[in-house]
Amino acid sequence: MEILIIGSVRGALYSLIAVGFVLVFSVGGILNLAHGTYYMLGAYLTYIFYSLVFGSGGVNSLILSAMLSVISVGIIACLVYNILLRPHIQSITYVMVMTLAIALFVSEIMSLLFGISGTSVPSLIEGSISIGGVKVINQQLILIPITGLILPALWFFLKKTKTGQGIDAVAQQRTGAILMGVSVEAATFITSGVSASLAALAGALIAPVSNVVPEMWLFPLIKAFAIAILGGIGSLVGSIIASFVVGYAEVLSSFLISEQLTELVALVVIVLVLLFKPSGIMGYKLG
Amino acid sequence: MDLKRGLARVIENQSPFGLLILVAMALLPVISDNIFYIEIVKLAAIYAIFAMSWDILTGYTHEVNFGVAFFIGGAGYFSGILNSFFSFSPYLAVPLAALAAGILGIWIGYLTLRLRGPYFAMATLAFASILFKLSFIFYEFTGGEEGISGLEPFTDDPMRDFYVAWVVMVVVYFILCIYARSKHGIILKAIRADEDATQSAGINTAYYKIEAFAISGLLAGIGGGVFAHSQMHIGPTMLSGYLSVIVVLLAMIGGMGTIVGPLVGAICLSILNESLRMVEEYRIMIYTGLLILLIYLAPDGLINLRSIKNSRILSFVFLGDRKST
Repeated sequence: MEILIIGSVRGALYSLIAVGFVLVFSVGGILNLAHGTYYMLGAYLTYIFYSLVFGSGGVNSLILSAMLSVISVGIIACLVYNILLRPHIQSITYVMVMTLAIALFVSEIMSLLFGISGTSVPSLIEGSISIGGVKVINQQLILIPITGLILPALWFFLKKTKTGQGIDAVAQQRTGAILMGVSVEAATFITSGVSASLAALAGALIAPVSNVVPEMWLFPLIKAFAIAILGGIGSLVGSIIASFVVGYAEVLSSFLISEQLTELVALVVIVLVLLFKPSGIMGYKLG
Repeated sequence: MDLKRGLARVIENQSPFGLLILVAMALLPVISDNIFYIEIVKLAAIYAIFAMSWDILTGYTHEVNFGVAFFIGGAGYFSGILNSFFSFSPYLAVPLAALAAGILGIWIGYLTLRLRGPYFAMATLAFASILFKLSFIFYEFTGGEEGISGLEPFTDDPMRDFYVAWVVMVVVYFILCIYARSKHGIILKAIRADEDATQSAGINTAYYKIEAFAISGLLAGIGGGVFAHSQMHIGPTMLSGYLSVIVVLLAMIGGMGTIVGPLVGAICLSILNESLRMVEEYRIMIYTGLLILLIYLAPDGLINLRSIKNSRILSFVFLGDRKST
């Protein structure tokens, strides 16, 4: 039971992060190594807005600051794409090195501003409830309904609205989409913003229960990548399934073997999938 | 006679600028015996080893290796453990550790080089992170956060230590230059241009990529061992993603696929980095910010700038090309 609940919480968190990562890769061909940084910025900006701008108001100002941080991370991501990435978007090497350099730069700024020991944010809803004898912190539990709302909303956006269909078309068949008059640049622009916002949302929601430290960008990034290749790059459904698989696997390993090994699970998943089934569970064959 | 011709082939087509830098570094201790400057230049030389060994795989094939720290830190730790637990001399421990890094390079290359582009990059990043985590889990051997201190230095004199690093750097530079000009280097360039076409010409591209990866790991391992012993300390920062990225940035800003580019880039930028110690608090921020700016302005690297490539004199001075036209 404990494994089930905590695993679901982790799965929900990871799916928020990984969906954006997969989306931006399949639409723009961008391997966004700054994705973990957007997650980190979501947490930090929530803290900044909450305690520095609003001066620690009540729950309302916390919700407001979380929303503001999600929006501003989206804007930052759009700016990064437009100014830094777009001029050399064809070069995969350039994109990867640039995004990783941005990740380092931002984490350096954050450790300069707030120190390496980290800060924390108060919970959106206090307290904890027990389900079937397991004590769960409310703030963690809230991740599940929010993910449950966000992911269908994303699906609706991609399948039913005009912009979303354009994005979907670019992801499926780039040349075909161009011929149909879809602007690839606009699609990539919007996708960068949306995917960064999703990561920032995950960061803002997890900020109260985890320590907000400047190094928190690396492991979400590696996990997002593990999930992306487990699910098959380019497949959103696959990545959601894979998020939960990785979430459960981590909780299982921490219960069965050792707490220390949880961080290694994602890495082992990467290695195993790449070795035995490089196309992932729902993916196409790699080029 | 053969030796003479071999030497002539090595010297021929060398970049005069690269040679000039190598000589200038060797002459530095003659001009100034300020130990502070010598330490800075020694560090620059070690970074140059890292950047050049990264370049032989990534610069020539464009398969981005984000896991240099795996080899640097791995070899550093291995040689540190050999030295402090089994009291091997550094002259034995470093080559052993580098050899181990090279063999690991073959194994990891075999596993990961079937993948291309972003998959390979992330897989190497993942391997480096595994080692980083392991260094905390096995803290009895690695000292956890603090690392292993009190390693035996090569010599007692910092000046001679500097020359050890310098000699290693020069040797690495020439080995890589010869390798890059050999048949192997040309095949790597062909893989960069079009891997499928190279394969269809009957060349086992995987073999050459693995070979380059192993050589890159071996040389980076030597660099890591030299670094560990000359600092007399090895810590988890040598395994961190930060180091990998810095090495990648140094080599890319210098100019990938030229060997001399990463050499020049690493030396100039590390010296710049150390001179920023005046504003210690903001140093890393300014430094990474500057690197981002440089890579934005010159994505192909400073030495591959169009103005250098198009001018006959400049391309001779920096790249060693004698254009026939």
